[in-house]
Amino acid sequence: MTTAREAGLIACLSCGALEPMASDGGLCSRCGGRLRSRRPYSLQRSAAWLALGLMAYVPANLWPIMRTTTLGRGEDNTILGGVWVLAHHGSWDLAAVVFLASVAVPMAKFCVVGLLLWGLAFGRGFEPHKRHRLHEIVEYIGRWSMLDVFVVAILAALVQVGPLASITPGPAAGAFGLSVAFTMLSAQALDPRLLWDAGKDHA
Amino acid sequence: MRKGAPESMTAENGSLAASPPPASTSSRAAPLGEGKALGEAWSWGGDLAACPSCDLLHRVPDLAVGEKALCARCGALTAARRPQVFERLLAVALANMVLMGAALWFPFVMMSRSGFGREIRILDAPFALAEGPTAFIALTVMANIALIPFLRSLAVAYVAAPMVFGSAPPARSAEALRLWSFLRPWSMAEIFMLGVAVSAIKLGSMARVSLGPGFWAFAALLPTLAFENMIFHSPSIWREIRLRRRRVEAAARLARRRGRGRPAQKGSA
Repeated sequence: MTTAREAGLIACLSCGALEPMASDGGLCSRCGGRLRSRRPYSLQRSAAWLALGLMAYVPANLWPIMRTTTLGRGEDNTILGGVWVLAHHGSWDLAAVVFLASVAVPMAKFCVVGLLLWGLAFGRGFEPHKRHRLHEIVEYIGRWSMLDVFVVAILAALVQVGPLASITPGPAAGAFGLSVAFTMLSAQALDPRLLWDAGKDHA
Repeated sequence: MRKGAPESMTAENGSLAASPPPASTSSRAAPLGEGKALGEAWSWGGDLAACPSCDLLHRVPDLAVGEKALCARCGALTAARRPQVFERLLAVALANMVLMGAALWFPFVMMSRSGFGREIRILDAPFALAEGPTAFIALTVMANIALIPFLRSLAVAYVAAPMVFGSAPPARSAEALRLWSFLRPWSMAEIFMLGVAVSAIKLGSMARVSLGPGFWAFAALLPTLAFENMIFHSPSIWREIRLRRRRVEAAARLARRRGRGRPAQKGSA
């Protein structure tokens, strides 16, 4: 089992060309893409995006995500409040979907990326195959958290029924969208090849 | 398709256990005989490739049409030889762009309650965020659900169309292919659709919600977008492009040689 790095080569991620290690940081001679044996400062960048995501996640849960005005009476809803209202009205399935997308998935993502980074930085943690699987899942599933932002957008566009009822988006929608984007960037910043280097040097 | 990863990449081709690989893969060194030139032009694999996700070196097997090779260690797709890949990519990209146009143009969802009615198009959703504290996210949402899927299909069509009609890959096709991959995680049409479903169920108890033609166009768009994602594999697209170029060159070489050969024979006769 030899990796390209051990063989003194860098694989271009765009066109698949193998270039000598000396061209690290330069451009691929075939397609002009940036060549990186391992993404520089991958762990640091990933951790920084993750921290930003956490920071945005706090106001996303404290501020109202939307404001429902019914017959002149306004009511603010937070994310968890919305889930609670849904569950209270008996739509358990819907409450479960929203809870999964806007609470469970982001939380799981913070924990998993945090654990991966911790393991890589301090040389402990999961075995590479498990690490790879976790990273794959996080990259795939993280995008689905955007669901709540889309729901708010659709409801705010649709529910403008004159004096009867109207819905306006709250500041938490923006914060939550940012949090999702930041955690997606965090998962992307983590170079998957580092997950396999474990123990060897990962510059 | 060859499913089991190990046999496709490891079996006899090996994941390069001991033998040190050459420094460069573009082995166009020795002048090739006619037959060999054609033979090489016809073999799909044979060179080295690293797994995009774990960096393990493999020798790419000479895949048959429809086969794919998975990394022997982590299972990531390393090479895929799709049948008529440019034709299919062009078809699906055009379908995507037409469907996206229809989805944006036609009414998307209608809602009515006690005499009041409202009809929205897709882009009304991001516009609803454009005022107040969520303004900065409105453009992102618009990009996620409409602009990015459209742009990616445009990039695919831009590269695939000349290949389908037998010309050289267009200028800046490398940039187009990179843009496609870069935007991949940010295309969120399918998530938006789930959002529509959640909203419709949420409102269902309080108002009548009906679906417009824009909704159906968008629903039809999801499988075609997924198909584009499924058959597009950047290094393999590059491989097909190189293969095309190699074949054209080999054919030209052959034609030149015959062209030189014939008059000489005539002269000697």
